[in-house]
Amino acid sequence: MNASPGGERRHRPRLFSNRMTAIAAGCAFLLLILGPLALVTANGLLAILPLVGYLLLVLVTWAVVAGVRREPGSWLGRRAVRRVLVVAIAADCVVLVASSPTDSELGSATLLLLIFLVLLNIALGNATERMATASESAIDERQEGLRNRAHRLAYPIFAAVVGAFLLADVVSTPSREWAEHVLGTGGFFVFLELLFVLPAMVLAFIEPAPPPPESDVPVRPHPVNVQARVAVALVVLVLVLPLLGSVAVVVLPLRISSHVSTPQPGPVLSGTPASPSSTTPQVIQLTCHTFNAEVETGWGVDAELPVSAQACGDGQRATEEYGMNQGDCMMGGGLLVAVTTEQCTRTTAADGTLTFTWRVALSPDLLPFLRRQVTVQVIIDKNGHVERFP
Amino acid sequence: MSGSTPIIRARLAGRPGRRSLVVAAWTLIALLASALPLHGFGILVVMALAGLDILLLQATGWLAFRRGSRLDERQRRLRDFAYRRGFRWIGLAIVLLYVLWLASDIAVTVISATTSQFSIPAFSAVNTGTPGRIVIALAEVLLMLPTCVIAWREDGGGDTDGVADGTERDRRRTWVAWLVLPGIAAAWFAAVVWLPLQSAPHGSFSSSGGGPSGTTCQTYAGGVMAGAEFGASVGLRANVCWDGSVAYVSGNPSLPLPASVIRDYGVPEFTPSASEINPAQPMLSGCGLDNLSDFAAVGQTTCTERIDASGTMYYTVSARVSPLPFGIASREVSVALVVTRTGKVLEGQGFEES
Repeated sequence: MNASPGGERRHRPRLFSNRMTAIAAGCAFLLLILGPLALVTANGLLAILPLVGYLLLVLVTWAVVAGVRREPGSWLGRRAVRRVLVVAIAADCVVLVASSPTDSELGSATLLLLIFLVLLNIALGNATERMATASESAIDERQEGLRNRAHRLAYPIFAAVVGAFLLADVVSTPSREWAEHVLGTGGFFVFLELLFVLPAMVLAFIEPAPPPPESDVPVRPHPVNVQARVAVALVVLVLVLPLLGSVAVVVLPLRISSHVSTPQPGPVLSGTPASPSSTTPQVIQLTCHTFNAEVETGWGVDAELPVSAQACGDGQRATEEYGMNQGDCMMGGGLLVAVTTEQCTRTTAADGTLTFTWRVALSPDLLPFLRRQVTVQVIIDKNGHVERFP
Repeated sequence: MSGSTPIIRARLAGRPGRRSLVVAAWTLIALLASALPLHGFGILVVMALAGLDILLLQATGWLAFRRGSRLDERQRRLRDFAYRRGFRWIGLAIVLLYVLWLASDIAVTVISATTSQFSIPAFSAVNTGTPGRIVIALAEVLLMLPTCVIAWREDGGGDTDGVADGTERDRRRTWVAWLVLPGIAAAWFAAVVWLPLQSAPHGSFSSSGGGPSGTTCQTYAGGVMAGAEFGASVGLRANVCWDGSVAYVSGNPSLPLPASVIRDYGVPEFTPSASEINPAQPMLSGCGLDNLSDFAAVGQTTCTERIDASGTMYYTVSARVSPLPFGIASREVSVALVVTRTGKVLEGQGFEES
């Protein structure tokens, strides 16, 4: 082992070789995630700005927390704190597996758990000074022995967890389906977490407590670590922002942008009138409107109800051309918000008025006990004039 | 280390011998993790791998599995170091094995396309779970990686380290370890012959075309496994059509269409031939194409169809699963699919969701 003389540390171990690598990796990660999103989102980059901002905040938090130097006696280095971190990571992993969504797509709660897991990992790396992944030249012989021992203890734990999944794949049909489902969702991230972080978790758990300060040495007050305080504030902000956004979905006023086209001549219908006395073909002129609207609520954590429809009136009754069917009531969506359609009806009254009603219930994924009803309504009279939209 | 062939053991305990064992073991792991067909001989690969594992463990003096109290400081350091390296290489090993599987899967599919009329994917569309050969490859990686690290190193030999001290206990350990081989063989044999059949993870329930107008068709894929993932799978894949009066399998010319369906195909002054009405479509209704025979042979596959008076179709795939050559201890395995004339599935392995 390449121990430094006297067991002193020569360099502080880092996850990346330098900070630029971390930033570059973060930017690449952002591009990978946001590139496709920007392409498919109607409003492009504008619509994903809050998400971009939040992910940037996570990145900045990562950089700041990772840069906080653990000092002797600092609270993060205490054995109890380290063990709490390990337990929190384990709990997060268990919840990730237990709350794996039933479909193949990752749920919003999974996203939040993953962000929380990343932050916990940063804190763990800081608490252990990233000893588990440090280069051999950066640690002394005692640390080398400690991390080797941590790996030896972590190995059977990892093997047992993976072995349990393999066993589930063999034992019975239901267990096999469960294993396949879990591995396809949150379990995959847990696998990566264990693969990359489990030794650090074990290390944090077994590393002895730092020796108490000698009584004959005068205790000097530590200078205030501003960076550590900023880091704590950023972590709190990262965790609280999604919750605030969830409340905003219910509290903030709706943002409605709508556009109704000027009356357009519709297709001309010709036919024989109902009266048998007249044989002259009758021409019916339709008046049509195209409706486009977006009803949005929330910012960052948000929901969107798009409407794109066309209806025409012939003086007798209004009729739907497109965009007012059951399938159109499934177009609502949101980020960290569940959109449930409660009503989707299209009726024509006796006087020929067409009414399309789409009512949804919005419920933030993170605060599912909150709820808000939003109704989008289109009313067209028999002449094709718009009475209400949206 | 002691035994009846000390020269061979001494060679295996040397660094070149240990490295040869590591290379041989990883070659077998790669074979298991690939998509190359094993034709029912997978158990031989597993036995060979287990034998190599025992030799590796003996060559390294079982260092990876020794208690710390029986090791000196250097041995303990080496063992812990091996676990650290092993932990770091697990991820790499899994990625490499996945790439190998993907490449061999493509290769097997391409080769099958050039040697047969239809391109048949290497892995069955029916058993979409983790196949038994992959389970064993992963278990082997997890179990033996630290030992492989120790064996690869200059100072990883068991004999020269004093780990195996030549006592009676070590001699006993040497031959007792070999009892694992008959144990594996017996467990596998019992699983294939006596273990209850399991439903194989189904591959697809997709709507498909076919049949005259007014007909609805759907492709079903399912099957059963003998010996869990370590035996063989008998798969069923059928494109079933129904028109309200009768249900039937299309896409397999050996199963004739009902007379009423052939009549519905006809147009004035034109009578289509049987091959035009019901051409062979193995990807929809292949018989025996979804069998998986990694650890046991599957033979005598027959696909039969019966339609009763009410128009309900009974489709059965039967095959014999043989763990040993010449059909010794073979068992009959059947998969049934029953569909009514309205498309309702009455019976079928894994088809309940349709």
